[in-house]
Amino acid sequence: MSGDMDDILQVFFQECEEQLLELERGLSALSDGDSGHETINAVFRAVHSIKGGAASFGLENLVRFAHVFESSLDGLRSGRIVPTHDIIKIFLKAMDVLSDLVAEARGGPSVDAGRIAESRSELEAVIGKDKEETGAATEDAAPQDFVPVPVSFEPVPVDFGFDDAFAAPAAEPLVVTFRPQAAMYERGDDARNILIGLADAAKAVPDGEIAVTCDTSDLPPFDELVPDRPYLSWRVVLPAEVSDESANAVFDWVSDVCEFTLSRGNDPQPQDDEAVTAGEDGAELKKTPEDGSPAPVPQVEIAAPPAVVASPPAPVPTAAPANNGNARSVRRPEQASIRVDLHRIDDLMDLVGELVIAQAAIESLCRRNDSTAQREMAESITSMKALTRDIQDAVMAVRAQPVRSVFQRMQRVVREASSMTHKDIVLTLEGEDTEVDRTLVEKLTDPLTHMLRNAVDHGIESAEDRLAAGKPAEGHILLSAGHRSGRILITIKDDGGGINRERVLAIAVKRGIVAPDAVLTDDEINNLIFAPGFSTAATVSDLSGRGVGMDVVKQAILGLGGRVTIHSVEGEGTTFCLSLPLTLAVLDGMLIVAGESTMVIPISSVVETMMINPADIYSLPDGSRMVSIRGNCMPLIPLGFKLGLSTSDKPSADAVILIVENESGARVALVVDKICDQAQVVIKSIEKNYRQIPGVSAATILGDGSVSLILDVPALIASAIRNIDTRSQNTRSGLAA
Amino acid sequence: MPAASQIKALVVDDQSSIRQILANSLAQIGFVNIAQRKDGKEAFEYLEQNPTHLVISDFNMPVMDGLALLRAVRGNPKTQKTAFIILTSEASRDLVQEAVKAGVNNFLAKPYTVAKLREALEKVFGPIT
Repeated sequence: MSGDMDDILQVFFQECEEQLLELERGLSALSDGDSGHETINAVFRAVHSIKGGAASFGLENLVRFAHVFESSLDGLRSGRIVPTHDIIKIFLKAMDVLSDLVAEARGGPSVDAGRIAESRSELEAVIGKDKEETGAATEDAAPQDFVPVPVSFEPVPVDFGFDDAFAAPAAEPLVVTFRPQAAMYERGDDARNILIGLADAAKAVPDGEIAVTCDTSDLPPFDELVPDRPYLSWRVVLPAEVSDESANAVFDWVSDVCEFTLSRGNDPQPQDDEAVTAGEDGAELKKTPEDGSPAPVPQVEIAAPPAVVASPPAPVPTAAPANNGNARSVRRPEQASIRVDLHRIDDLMDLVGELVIAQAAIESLCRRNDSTAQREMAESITSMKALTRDIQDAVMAVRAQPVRSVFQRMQRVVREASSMTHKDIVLTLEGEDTEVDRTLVEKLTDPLTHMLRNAVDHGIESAEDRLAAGKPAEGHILLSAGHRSGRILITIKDDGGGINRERVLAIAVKRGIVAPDAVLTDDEINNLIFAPGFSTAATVSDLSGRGVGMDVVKQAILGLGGRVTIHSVEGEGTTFCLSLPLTLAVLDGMLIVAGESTMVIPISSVVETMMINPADIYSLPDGSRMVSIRGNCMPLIPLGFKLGLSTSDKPSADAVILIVENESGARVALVVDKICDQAQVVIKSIEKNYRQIPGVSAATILGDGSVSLILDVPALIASAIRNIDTRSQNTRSGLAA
Repeated sequence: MPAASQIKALVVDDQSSIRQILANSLAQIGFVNIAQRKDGKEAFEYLEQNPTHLVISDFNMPVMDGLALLRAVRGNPKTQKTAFIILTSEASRDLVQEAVKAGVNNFLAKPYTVAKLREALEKVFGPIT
């Protein structure tokens, strides 16, 4: 068998993750009152499996803890322990320890021995109650008095002592019959491939010849023949040494669109499906050709080595299959999932990216001239474009992963945070099945963790305050995910006290984040909690005092191409909405020209575009300009000049204005020379290849092969606003919110 | 005295890592023909179609556990003579007795070494070459 220990170990860790999720799911079902047999068994099995695997790999720490955990769960399973609220709490804590021990075994930080011991003694206390009563043995061995039961085994498999049916197959050739359905051909599969596959299976054994018979009895006369209908079926006899599995594997890809049977036996009669399934009833064969209508015999060419016989219409086998006890229709078990190395999918994604670029290149070539041929070419490229888009979506779907794994981890975050702050908080999850790109799932963990800690620490009030405000003592946080117009929307909603804006503003002023006399809208005040160096915690608690503030969260979300918005009602709670792109690999962009450079602006940040009207432009004393659009003033940024690509900051007469917006709603007007196109661009990291450039988030390759920069709109807006702030402290009118 | 290469084996466990380790260990002893299935139901479907001399199965699996598989194997004339070894790491006396009643050939305690595996096999098959 393949795979060295290291690979298997990695598989084991993956399984542990799955088992831990299963455990979490089971325990939360238990705490919801579902103490059904299957739930309890699933919980037990999860820990049991981790222990069993860990033992095989010699992961002592993990085994020892899992063993105690398992024993206490065994009590639960046998009904000796009743899953009360307190006991489930102990199990949940043990689960967290177990999860950390798995991480430790994987090379993570080592787990505090005190924590293990504490959880361990809690579990032992649970078992203790149990053990005294029953004295049940949970020793890891077969009973001492068990005597192994020997079987007789003779050297030759035939004489193994099993009945004939058992040993017979080794001597009997494998007969495969198959009949493709129309759907198989429609899908572009070919019977030829099946024959080649079977021939290959035969080649794997010595003297591996196969004999193929093609049943043409269903072929209609030539003038009635519909070329894309399936008329033929085949019967292939493979050497006895070929295993059923290897023959089965040939049909892996077509099992749903091709009828096929496998049987063992030297039956000389070509039998077709009907004959096999009709069975002992001796049902008549539908495929008997009418008398006197000789079916045309087609030339069948097959690349496979065996001799091909296009047989005349099959003679009626009179209930032939009955003699063949082990003939059977084969249905491949459906495989729910496969594990694929992420690198392979990444490679595939890269290739699709290249394909998108190549297609854009051809497209732009075609547009350059307008001869008829090129127009037609452009048309066919348009259909290719649709196809590439489909492939791209399909590859992304492979990379997609439900957010469940991250969401479930948040249960633990909330559990720990609430026990640390002595609050009773229930986290409800919604939309865990929402799928997003895998890399995004991973990168969401940290920001979500922090936001939930924040919600527990600052959002939800203490039980006394809640009761005083007429709310239930138990706090609620809702974490939900869903798709919204091509983006994923994650909301974190608490029913706490809401943002105390007066206090936030006071602190922001104290910390010098805003000027004392600044006039801010509610939204702007809410967004202050994302400002660097802002923390409202009166006492720096264990939770929030970890040196990361909400500004880090915001940066992380921005880094993912996302936006954060806050909605807060005082006394009722706060809702954070994260809007994120579905993938980090491609982006819908607007291609613009500024100062002779073509650049890409993410479409998601463009609010509107319009021609410039010189009458709407106002110059400020310091030389910067504002533009008034329908009564709203906003900074006007000549993009080419700002990026040092052109020497003049004066917009040309035919320039275009792009109004762009950041996640908090601040808008600026970018002046560009022209808008070229709207296109999907493949994001290539510029940091990896060069270094970080302020105002530029990444690069891409355009259809003409040139490298183009993708602008970082929030950064551009931030720098424009900073300029205004520093030049004229109080002029915030430009920030229409 | 069978040769290991003659014995067709089926390994049944819901954890693919355990299956792979077992298959590796069997391969070390000299087994050539080793199939793997992830639960009792899949295993039994396999056994019905593929004559097999030896099943090594876990106890606790989803869908159909090891004990149910053992009973199904013993209940079918086509498979009833298959040697059946159960992997135990939580052998509660009850389960073990059930397995003995159902006709298990031997037990193998997890974690095991290749030597222990061989020993368990030889108790069933006689010396394996």
